[in-house]
Amino acid sequence: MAYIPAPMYWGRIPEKYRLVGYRCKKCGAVNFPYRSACRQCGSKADYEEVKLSWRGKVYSYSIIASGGSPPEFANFERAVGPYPIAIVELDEGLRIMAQLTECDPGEVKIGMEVEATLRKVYEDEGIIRYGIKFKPVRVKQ
Amino acid sequence: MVAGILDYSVYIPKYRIKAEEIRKSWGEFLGAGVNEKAVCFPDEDVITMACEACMGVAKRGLVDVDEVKAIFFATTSSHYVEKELASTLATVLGATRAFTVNLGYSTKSGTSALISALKYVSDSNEKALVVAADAPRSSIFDPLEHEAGCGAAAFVVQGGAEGAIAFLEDFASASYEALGDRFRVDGEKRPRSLDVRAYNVKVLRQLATDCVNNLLSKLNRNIDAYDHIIFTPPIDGGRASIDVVRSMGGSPDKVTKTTMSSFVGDCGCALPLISLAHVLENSKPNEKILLISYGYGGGCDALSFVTTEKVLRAQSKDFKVKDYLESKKYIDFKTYLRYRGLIE
Repeated sequence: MAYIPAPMYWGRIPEKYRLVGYRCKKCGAVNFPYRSACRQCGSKADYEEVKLSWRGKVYSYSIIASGGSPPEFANFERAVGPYPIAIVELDEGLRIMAQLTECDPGEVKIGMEVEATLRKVYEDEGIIRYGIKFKPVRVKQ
Repeated sequence: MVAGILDYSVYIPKYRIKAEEIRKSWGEFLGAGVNEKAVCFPDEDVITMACEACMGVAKRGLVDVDEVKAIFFATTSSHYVEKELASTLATVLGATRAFTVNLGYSTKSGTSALISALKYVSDSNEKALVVAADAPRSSIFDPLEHEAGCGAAAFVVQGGAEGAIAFLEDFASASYEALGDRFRVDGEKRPRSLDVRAYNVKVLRQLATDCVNNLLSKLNRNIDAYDHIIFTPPIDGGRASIDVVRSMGGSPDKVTKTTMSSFVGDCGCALPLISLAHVLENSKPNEKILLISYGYGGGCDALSFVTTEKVLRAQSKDFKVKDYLESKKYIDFKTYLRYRGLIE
């Protein structure tokens, strides 16, 4: 199991629950997820938190087929079958990786509009790990 | 006490199953009064639905949700029996200095949350968030499973007179022990019921009549003064609530047109608030709304609201109750069993 201890998960709550990114104070690049050194300028982490857009488009995707999930996702896969994960390009241009939910593998298309939603990612030791997934835009403005 | 509702939103999961599909596949459908119902996707629960409802209010843009000073969260079907739940919502919304109140145990805890929040803000002009989310479940052999739906509703309330789309005029409660109409025992996932129909109806009738009469006498009016009556418990397929209202001189039509369990299922403590949001979306200014909520085991709340001109402004906003009701995808019975985790 790709075990992430609860204390470590807790330290990443802003990015996992709110889609908060980390803007490097030196070069201005936004990092997501958290990195101990900025992905652009390589300087040691000194960030300000910025709430990222909850909207984006599918930039690329892959289907996790039966048996392809880490064990903590086995229950989810058993309930829904194969499911897509995607690189989502957020409205501000940043690309992040996330699971797509409420989306059949046959439904996902590059360029598809998606929105962030808080979902159960998995349960471990009785603790539900919530996190951001993306789903096809359901209610349009 | 002057306090009112500033805005509302709901969340109803996208997936639905028709009663007919269950009847066809299982051989019978035991959820009287339910035509179709909402089904959670396997990664949804009461917390994720509550978040969706809160984000719905935020997206409508009438209120800054992160400014709320208190969050009242109600559910009867959380994964956790002990743990802060409203704090999870506070974290997602960025309202981490809010005072949190976690309510449960009763299918009327949605209206308990609404009354508590309105009282909490009534001495100030602070805002509070009220959220109810529920997803009761049972065994496929049990009528409770057949009628069980899921959903959430969120309201922002504020003290003072400014901005409210509806004011709380007054409320009343009736609290009198009832045994066995519906309950869930510690360690069990499924509510039980002795399933004695005549008894359940009798208990409901006594509590609701007492509660509503008390409210009406406080306000010195008859039940026919109300333009909308919400009374949601799916006891005897909703017929019991209609009978109570009729026996008090109210028109059954006013109840049936607000009955949402027929197309989302029994959403536990969230159903009265989902129904209230739906009524607010379909009401005119200066209309009176009576919201009656029943808590199995012997509790009833009745709330009296009057809408203002500002209700029209809320109705013009996107992310309507109607959008969540109408955007849906039907699933078959096999998928239903998988999504609900009914095969273990």
